[in-house]
Amino acid sequence: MKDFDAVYGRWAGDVYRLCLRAVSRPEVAEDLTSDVFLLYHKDQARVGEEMLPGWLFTVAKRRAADYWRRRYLEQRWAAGQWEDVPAAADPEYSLESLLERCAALKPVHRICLILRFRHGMSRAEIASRTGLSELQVKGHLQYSLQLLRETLQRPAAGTGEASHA
Amino acid sequence: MPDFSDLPDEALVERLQQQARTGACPHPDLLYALREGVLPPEGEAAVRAHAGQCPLCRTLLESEPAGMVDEGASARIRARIENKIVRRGGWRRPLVWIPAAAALLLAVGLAMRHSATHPAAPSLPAQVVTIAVLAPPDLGPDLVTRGASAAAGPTVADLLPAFQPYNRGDYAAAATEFAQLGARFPHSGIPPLYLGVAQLQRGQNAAAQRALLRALPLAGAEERSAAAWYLAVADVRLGQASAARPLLRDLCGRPNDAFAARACSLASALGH
Repeated sequence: MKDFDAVYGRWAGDVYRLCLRAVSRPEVAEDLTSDVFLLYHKDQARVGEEMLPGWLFTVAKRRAADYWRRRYLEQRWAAGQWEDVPAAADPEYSLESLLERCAALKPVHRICLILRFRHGMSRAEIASRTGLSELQVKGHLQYSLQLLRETLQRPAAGTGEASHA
Repeated sequence: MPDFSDLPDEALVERLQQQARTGACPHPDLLYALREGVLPPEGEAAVRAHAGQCPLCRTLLESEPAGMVDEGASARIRARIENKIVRRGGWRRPLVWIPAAAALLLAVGLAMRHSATHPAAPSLPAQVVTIAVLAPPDLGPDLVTRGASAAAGPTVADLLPAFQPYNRGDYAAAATEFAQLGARFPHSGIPPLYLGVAQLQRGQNAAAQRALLRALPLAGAEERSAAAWYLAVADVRLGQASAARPLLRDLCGRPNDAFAARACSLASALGH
């Protein structure tokens, strides 16, 4: 495993996945991953085999932390990323309420619905955050809507209108 | 009560969009960064507090992490590594896995390397190869009368041992002094700013980047542009142009700023 090529071949995928989870943006994750291996290329003489892959993961996490620190510092990014949106016309039909009422939704459906309707993400954006393909995202959203529709056709429990059907 | 039963899909989606957007939530990327433990402390506290009482954010936070490597990503990462290794002059031998496009890049890079006198210079924009030294701050009465407590910042007497070697071009000695000042006055932006500039002059770009990142939030209005400019220089020298671009765009958009012209010039050289 001393050879750079072998180390890259063995660990690049794991390092990239870690970076992608940490920064969510594929192009940034690629940049960070290349930085990690550049540093390894430079320092490989002193990075022993026994230090892998921990050394690579540690560097990747530090680079990701640097990325976020910089985002906070430079653009007051965090403030802009808190989505201040108007209240729902009817809180009973807020997404929180609907998800709670629709027990048939699986976690993946809930995630797709939240990213789509709370955060207004496109299918491509959801795909990049979830690791799903766009086609899978489309399928999950369609199925989720069907489940929601079935839930909405039943009156909410405890509202006084429910017939406990 | 809203009736969704007979709505077509498009109308249902529209109703959901109207109904679903309640309250204020952090962007999902912040939640994922929190999960990975890479948010700065101030961001972590706020996002964690929100997620603790928001069921939607908690759902995202508790979801399985994503991260598939597609063929395109793998090839792009490899090409970037090859490109950067060559640009830094650190290429040693061909790597067996490089794709044809990266091999071509390698050949071009090597040709540039052999045609230049400085091994790292050819691929770097001229704006960052040689940089103007930042003039020392005005060590006027304000600094004299601030006192010497860590909270108040360094006095002229504190700063002089660092600026004397700095002014005569002895950046190694200056860097040592500024590092010590930074430890004594952790809330002052001056020591890390000039430490970063001194390290840039010595070619210690990674160390300079760290110092300037510290300087940026601490720097006063007068020093902030300088910190941003020299940080961008460090970024570019380290091959991290994507990190430099937002800084340069910000500086370039301030026509009265002393660093605006050079920021615009470097941004233009870097392209998009």
